[in-house]
Amino acid sequence: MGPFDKKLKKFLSNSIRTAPKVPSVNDKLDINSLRDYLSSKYPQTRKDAVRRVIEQMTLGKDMSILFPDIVKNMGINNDDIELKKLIYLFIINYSLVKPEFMILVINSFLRDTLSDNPLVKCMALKTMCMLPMEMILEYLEEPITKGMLNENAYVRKTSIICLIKIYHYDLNLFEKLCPTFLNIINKEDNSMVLGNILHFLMELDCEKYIKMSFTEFLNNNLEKLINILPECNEWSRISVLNSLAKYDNNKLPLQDFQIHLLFNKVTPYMQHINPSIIMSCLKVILNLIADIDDSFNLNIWDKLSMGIISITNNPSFELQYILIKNLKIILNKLPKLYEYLDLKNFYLKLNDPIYLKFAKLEILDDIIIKTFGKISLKNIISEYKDYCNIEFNNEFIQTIINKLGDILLLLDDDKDIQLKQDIIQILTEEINYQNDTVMINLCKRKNSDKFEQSSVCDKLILPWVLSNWESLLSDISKSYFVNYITSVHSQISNFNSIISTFLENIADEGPETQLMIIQILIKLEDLNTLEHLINSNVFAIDLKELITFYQRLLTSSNSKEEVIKFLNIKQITNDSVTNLKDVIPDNKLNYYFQNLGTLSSITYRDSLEDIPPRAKILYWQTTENKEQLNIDLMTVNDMIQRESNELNLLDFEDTGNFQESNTTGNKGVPGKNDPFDDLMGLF
Amino acid sequence: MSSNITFCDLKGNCILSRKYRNDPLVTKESVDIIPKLLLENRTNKSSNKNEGVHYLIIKYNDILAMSLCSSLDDNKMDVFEQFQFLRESCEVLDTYLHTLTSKSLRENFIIAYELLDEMTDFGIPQITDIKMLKNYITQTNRKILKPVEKRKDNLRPPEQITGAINWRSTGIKYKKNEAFLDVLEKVNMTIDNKGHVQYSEILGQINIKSRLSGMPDVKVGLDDKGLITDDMDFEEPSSSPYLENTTGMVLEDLKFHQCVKLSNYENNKTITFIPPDGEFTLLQYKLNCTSKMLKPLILCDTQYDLHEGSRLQIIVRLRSNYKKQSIANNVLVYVPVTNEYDTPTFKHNHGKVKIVTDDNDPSKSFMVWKLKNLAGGKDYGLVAELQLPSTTAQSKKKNEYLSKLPTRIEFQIPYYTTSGIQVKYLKVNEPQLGYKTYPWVRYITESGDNYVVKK
Repeated sequence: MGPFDKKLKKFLSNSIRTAPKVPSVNDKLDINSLRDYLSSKYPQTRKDAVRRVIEQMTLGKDMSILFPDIVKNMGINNDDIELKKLIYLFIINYSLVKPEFMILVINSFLRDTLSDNPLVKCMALKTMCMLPMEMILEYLEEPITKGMLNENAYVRKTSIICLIKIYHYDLNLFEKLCPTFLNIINKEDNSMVLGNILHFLMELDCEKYIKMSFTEFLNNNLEKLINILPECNEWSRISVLNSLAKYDNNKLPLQDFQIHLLFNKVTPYMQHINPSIIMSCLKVILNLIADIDDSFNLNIWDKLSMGIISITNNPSFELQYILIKNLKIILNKLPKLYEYLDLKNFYLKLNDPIYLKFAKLEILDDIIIKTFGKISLKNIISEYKDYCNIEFNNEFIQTIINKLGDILLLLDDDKDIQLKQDIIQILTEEINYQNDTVMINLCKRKNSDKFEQSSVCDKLILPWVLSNWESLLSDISKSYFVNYITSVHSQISNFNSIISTFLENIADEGPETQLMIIQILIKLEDLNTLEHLINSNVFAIDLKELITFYQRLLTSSNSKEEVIKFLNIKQITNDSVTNLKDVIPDNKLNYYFQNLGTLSSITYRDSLEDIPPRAKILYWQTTENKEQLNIDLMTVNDMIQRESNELNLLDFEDTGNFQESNTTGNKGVPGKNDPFDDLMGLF
Repeated sequence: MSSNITFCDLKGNCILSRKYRNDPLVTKESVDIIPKLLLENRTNKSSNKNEGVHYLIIKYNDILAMSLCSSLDDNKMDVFEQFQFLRESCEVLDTYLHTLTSKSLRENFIIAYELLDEMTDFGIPQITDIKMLKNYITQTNRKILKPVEKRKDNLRPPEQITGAINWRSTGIKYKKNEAFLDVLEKVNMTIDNKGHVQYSEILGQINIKSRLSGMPDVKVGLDDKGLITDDMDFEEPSSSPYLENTTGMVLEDLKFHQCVKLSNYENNKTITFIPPDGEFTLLQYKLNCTSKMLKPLILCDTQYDLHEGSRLQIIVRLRSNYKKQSIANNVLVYVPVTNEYDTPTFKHNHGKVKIVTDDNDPSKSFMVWKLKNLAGGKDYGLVAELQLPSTTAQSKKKNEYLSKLPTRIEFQIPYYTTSGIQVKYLKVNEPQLGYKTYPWVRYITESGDNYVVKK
C-alpha cells in the first residue's frame, strides 16, 4: 500500500497545479508582470515565464531588460536541465548586446562545468564558447583542459570542439592548451572523439602546432584509424574517411601492404546507406589510385563504378547533381573508368529537376565522345527523342537538338547510315518547332566536306531545309543555311533565286549571315556580285574591318580572279562538335581532383578565385592579412570608380557552366578570325 | 562544417537560424537576403551563391533547410556531408515534431534549437541517430506541465552514443520477442505504346521492426537466387561490375544500414547485424531487369484525340497482367490533361474519375482514375470527353504537348514480390538471454515514382 499511496499522492499533487499559470503568448504581457512571474516562488511558474520570455525574444521583441531576472533563475534550480537550456538560449542571444551582464553569469557557468553530469558540463562548455570570446577567455582554460582529459567520451568530444572554436578566435589561448591536445591525439581511441580530432586537424596548421604534417599523423595512426572504422557512427566515419582521403602519398609513400589493407577495409563501406560515406570512400580510393598495384586483383574499377552508380540512385537530387559534377572531373582524370560505367545510369528521369538534367546530359556527352564507336548509339538517340517530347523547357530542347546534331556529324556516312537517317527523321519530323536550332544542326558540316558528293542524308535533309528556310528567325541559323545550300547547290534548282533573295535583303541580315554571303560569293567565284556587294554600305559594324580589307584587296590587285582564288583557299567551316568539348582546363584538373566532394569541385573553380573583392576584404580584415587587404582594396576602388552605381558587380551563377555549353553551339562564330589571320600572315 | 544553419519557409523568411562560426562573410544580412535570392535564382534551387556565401538548400515539406558557408572554405567544405546532414536533421526534426512544417517549427523552436545543437557542434555533424537522441533530449511542448521534481538529474547522454554500437542502448526488455520484416519492392517501368517494356527496374528494401531484448545478434537468410546473398558457394567476383544470374535481373546497387557488419558481407555474403530497437531499413537494393523476362504488371492504353473545334476525347484502357489470385489496391491512373477545360463527362464501369488541376504549375494537372482494387487478368475502360474553351494556337500547342506525355500509374500489390526474393530465415542469437523469437514476414509490391506507359 505504501508505495502506491505515495504514487497516488504524487499524481494528485501533479494534476492539481498550485503554481499560478503564466498567460499564453497571445495575451499581452508587459515586462513587469513577466518579471513578477520570473521571481515567483513556484519553480513551475518561473520556468513557464522563462519560456514565455524566450518565445517573445524569438518574435523579435527586446527582452534584454529582463536579463538580471533570468539570470537569477540560473542559480536556483540546478537540476532542471530544461530550464538551463532555456536560460542559456537567452544568454547567447543577448550576450552581444549586453556584455556588461556577462560577469553575472560566468560563475554559474563555471559551477556547471564542474557538474558530474556530462550533459550539464558540456552544455555549459558549449554555451561559454558561443559567447563573445574576449569576455570569457580567461575562464576557459581550465575547464577545457580538464574536459579533454575527462574519462567520459562525450565530454572529451565537446571539449575538442571547444578547442576548435578557440583556435579560430584566440591563438594565444590555443597555444596554452596545445600541450594537452598533443597528449591526447595519439592516445585517443574513442571513435567519436577521434572523428572530431581529425576534423580539427584537417583545419589546423599541423606543421606548426603538432609538429608534424597531417600525412605523418595519419601514417602514425593508420592502423588505428582503419580499425576504428566499424565502430564509428556515420559522421565520425566520414571524418575518418575524409582525412584518409587527404593522405599525401607522394610525401610519405605507403607500403603496398598498407594500401592493400586500406582498400580492403574501406571498400565494404561503399555499400553503406549513407551516400556521403560512399563518396568519402570513393575519395580515399581515388586519392591513392595512381599507386595501386593492379596485381592485388582488387576489382577497384568495379567497386568504384558500383559506388558511383549507388549514388546516382539516391533519391536526393542535390547529391546526384554533386556526384555528376564530380564525375566529370573523375572521368577526365581517369579515362579508364569509362569502360566501367553504363550509359543507362545517366539517362534522364521524368521528374529530375532541370539542373540535374543538364548535368546528366554533360556526362552523357562525355561518355558518348570517349567511347565513340564502342557503344551502340541507337538507345541514346531514342532517349534523346523522348526527352524532346517530355520536356517543355525550350532551352533544354535546344540543347538536345544540338546534341543530336553533334552525333549526326560524328557518325560515319557508310557504317551508321541507318542511325543518321533516324536522327534526321527525328529532327525533321518529330520536332515541329525550334526551326532555327534544327536548321543549324541539319546544316552542320565537317571541315573536309567542301563540295561533297550528294549523300543519302542530303536527300533527306534537303526537302526540309528548302521548305523551312523562310521561317528562320535567327542570324546564325540563316548563315548555316546559306552555307549548306551552297555546298550542295548543284542539287537545288532554285539555288540562284534563294541567294538573290538574300542579296536583296542583305541590309536587314545580321553579321553572321552577311559574312557568310560574302564567303559563298567567294566560294562560287562570282566576282561581279561580290564587288557590287562589298561596295554597298550595308554591313554590320563587326564586319567593317573585314570589308575594308576585301575592298582594298580587290582594288589594289591586278587580277581579280586570282584574288578570288586566293581567298578561296581557306574556306569558312562551321566548326564541328562545339558542344562536346571538355570544359575543365588541364591545369585545374588536379586541384579539383584532390578536392572532390567539396564546393570548388562543383562550381569548377579555385578557392580564392572569383570571390567578390568586397567579401575578401572582410575576410582579410579579420585575419589581419594586410598585404592581401590592400591589393583587394585597390581592386574594389577601381571597380567602384568604373561602375559607381552598380554595387552588385559580383554576380556569377552556378548555372554558368551549362549555360555556357548551351550557347556555344549557337554562338560558334563560324571561324570569323580564321581567314583574316591567314591572310594577315601573307602581308 | 557550415557556418550557419537556417530553416526558412518557402519564401525564404527565416524561422530558425543558428550561427556556428564567426565567419566574416556569413553575417546576419546573408540570412536576411535569402528571400531575394530565392526569387532571383529559379533554375537551380539547391545551391546558391551571393557575396561569397554559398547557400546549400534542401526542401523538406514546406521548409527550406540551408547550410551557409563562406566561399573561402570552398576546398574544405564537404558538400556531400552537408546535404546529407541537412536531410537527416530534417528527418530527426520531423520525428520530434510529428511533421516538420513551418508552423510546427515555429511553435517548437526551442526543441529544434536544442536538437540542432546536439546534432551539430560548430558546424560539424555529430549525432543524427534519432533513437539515441530520444534518450536524452526529451523536452516537448506538451509536457510543459510536468513537475520539475520528476526528472532531476537523470538526463545524461547515454554511454552508447560514443561507443562501438552507437545505435542501440543496453537493457532493452520485451516480454514477447518479435521481429517484423517487410519486403517492399517498388517497380519502375517504362512501357511503350505497344505494351513492350522498354526499361524496368526494381527498387527493393527490407524494413524491420525489431522488438527484441538485450543485445541480439541477428542473421537474415534470403532466398534470392544468388542476387544478394550467396550462401551456397563462394564465387570469384566476375569481371563485370554487375552480378548477373539466371533470372535475367542484375543487381545494380545494394546498400545496408549502419548496423550491418559490412566486412562479413564483403567476405562471405552473409547479412549479420545487431539491430537497433524499433523500426529501421535493413537494406536497399536496386535490380535492373535486362531481359524481357519482366512483364508489365499493369498495362494502360491511352488514346488522346484532339478533335478540331474544341473537344478532347481521351480513351483509357486498363489491363492487369498478374495472376488472378493477386489483387492490386489503390490503383491510380494519371493522365496529363490541360487545366483549361469545361464540362467533363466520363464513361466508365469501375472506380472513380476526377480531374486534379494545379493552377500554379499547369504541367501538374491530371485526370485521375482511381480504382480501389483491381484483380488480376481484368480489363477496364474509360472514355472521357472534355470541352476546351479556347482554341488559340498556344493552347493547341500545349494540348499537343500534353498528348505526348506518358500516363503514370500507381498501385500496390500485397503478398507479392516482383523479383521473387523471399526471406528464408531469421536467426536471432542473444548470448545472455537465449530467448525464442517470432519473425513475421510481409511482402508488398508497389509502383515507383516512374511507372509510366507511353502513348
